[in-house]
Amino acid sequence: MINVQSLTKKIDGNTIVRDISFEVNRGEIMGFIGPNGAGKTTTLRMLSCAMAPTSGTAELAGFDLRTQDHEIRRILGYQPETPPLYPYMNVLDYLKFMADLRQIPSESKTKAIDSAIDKCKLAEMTGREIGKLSKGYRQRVGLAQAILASPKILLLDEPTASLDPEQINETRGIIRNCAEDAAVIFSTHIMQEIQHLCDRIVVIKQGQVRYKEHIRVTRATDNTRRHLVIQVRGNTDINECKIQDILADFTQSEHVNVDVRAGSGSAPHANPGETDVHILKLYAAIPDDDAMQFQLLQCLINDGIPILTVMPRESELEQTILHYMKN
Amino acid sequence: MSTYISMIRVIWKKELHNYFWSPIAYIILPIFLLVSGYFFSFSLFYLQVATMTNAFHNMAILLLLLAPAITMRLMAEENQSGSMELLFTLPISYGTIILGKYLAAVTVLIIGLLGSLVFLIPLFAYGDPDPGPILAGYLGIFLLGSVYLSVGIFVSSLSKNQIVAAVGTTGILIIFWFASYLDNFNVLGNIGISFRYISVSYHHGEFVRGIVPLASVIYMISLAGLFYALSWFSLYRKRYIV
Repeated sequence: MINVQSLTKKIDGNTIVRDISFEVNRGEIMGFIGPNGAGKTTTLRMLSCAMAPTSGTAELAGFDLRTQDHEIRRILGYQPETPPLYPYMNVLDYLKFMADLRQIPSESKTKAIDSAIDKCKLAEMTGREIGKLSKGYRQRVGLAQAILASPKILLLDEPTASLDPEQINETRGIIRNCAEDAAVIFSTHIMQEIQHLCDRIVVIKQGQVRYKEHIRVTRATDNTRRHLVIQVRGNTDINECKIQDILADFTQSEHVNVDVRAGSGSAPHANPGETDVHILKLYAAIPDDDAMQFQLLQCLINDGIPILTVMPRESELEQTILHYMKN
Repeated sequence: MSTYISMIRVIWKKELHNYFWSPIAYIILPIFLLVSGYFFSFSLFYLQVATMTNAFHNMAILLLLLAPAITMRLMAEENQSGSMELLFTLPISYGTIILGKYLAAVTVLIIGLLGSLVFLIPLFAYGDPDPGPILAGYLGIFLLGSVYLSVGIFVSSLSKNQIVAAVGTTGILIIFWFASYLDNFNVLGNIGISFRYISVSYHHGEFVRGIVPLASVIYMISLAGLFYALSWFSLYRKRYIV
């Protein structure tokens, strides 16, 4: 649905976004994470047609960003970081104004506005002047205008900033709901947002993509299972096959899944003369049960597998993101 | 085409609502009517001149100061709040945005001019004026005001600050108004005469004298069109360069 190819933006001779590429499929939510000034907002501005790229291109729902921007605008919902609202308008008038500009047919306009009001829980605020709303409600009005026309492409720039925990949870629900029939990109610098919401992640720093990952397995929607990352010290004898054999009885259960991959970096505590020492990562999905976790670890310990760390998958992802954001 | 017109209408309506929601219209329109009414009354009752000539001249000077106040927020406010960025992501063209806002400003001008029609009541009561020059004068002040507003929209599109937009517009309008005065510098020769023709005061003067020269009509419309084009380029530049 969204296919970005070597997108670059230079402003006043400075390269703000450099040669970035990624893709997002329909029904997916992509988290765009990076430190302040990394180029997230500039990328979203380019994809939303608010700013033209210097080079590279992108295809959104089959339309070329450089030559078919008018068609893209028809299927796009965009919420800027600080929703630019008109303080003198009331919420309902503002949404009517945006519905008119989004050229929603008059017969479905009322339904679209009611649906956005309902989804963003703005029913009690429709008659209120926007200038008198709290920051959180303004953010909701910004989101409501973005989802008004049921967009196929939804671009959200830090949509949960300045919301309270309950509002954050509701906003996540709205975004998940919209993603059923759309491709969603949202930028954030909050790690939990990525873990709770995203199917894909792109880490950007200094205008360049540093890390891309498909992370659907960690979606918090699957909260009946416990996702663990177990790092063990591997060598010539302790390899992926051996660990699969050790856990064979364990993984026969349909409720347990263990994926063994070679990790990056060198393993600590290598014995003198020991060669080919490396880290193995076991990605385990087990029932959310302490006894089951204990059995799994006991199984490895009994066979003399040196366990280095055990952590929830979210923490491992967090560490990976931090690693790429720092380096 | 109908979509284009209906989008212009949507923006026009929103801007007009803003004029009358905020104090802008309630300050500008009374000032326009009171000040031009004062000069008109002075001319009619003190100088005993039963024409609109002085009134039209004073209206033109007054609009030099009031037109920038009408247009200063139209684009600068959107630039400042970031809503211009959001407008760029909607399926509407730059021309739609500019025309919708421009027509709202012109509507405020028309309301002011319609209000000034009350001057005609004592004029026709105390004198026997020729309606021709009055109609020409109204056409002239309408065209002149339209030029002022077009300049104002352009300058507002360049800035995020409304005060800068207002002062910048006044500066440009003063240059266009006083350009004809360079004609008085004999040393400039023919160049001085050409300054007369690019001055709005010269062309407005033709209407005030009661004639409607085609050249002056074309000049006013072209000048408004030129600043519309510059405003369009200013928005285009924001998307492609910045």
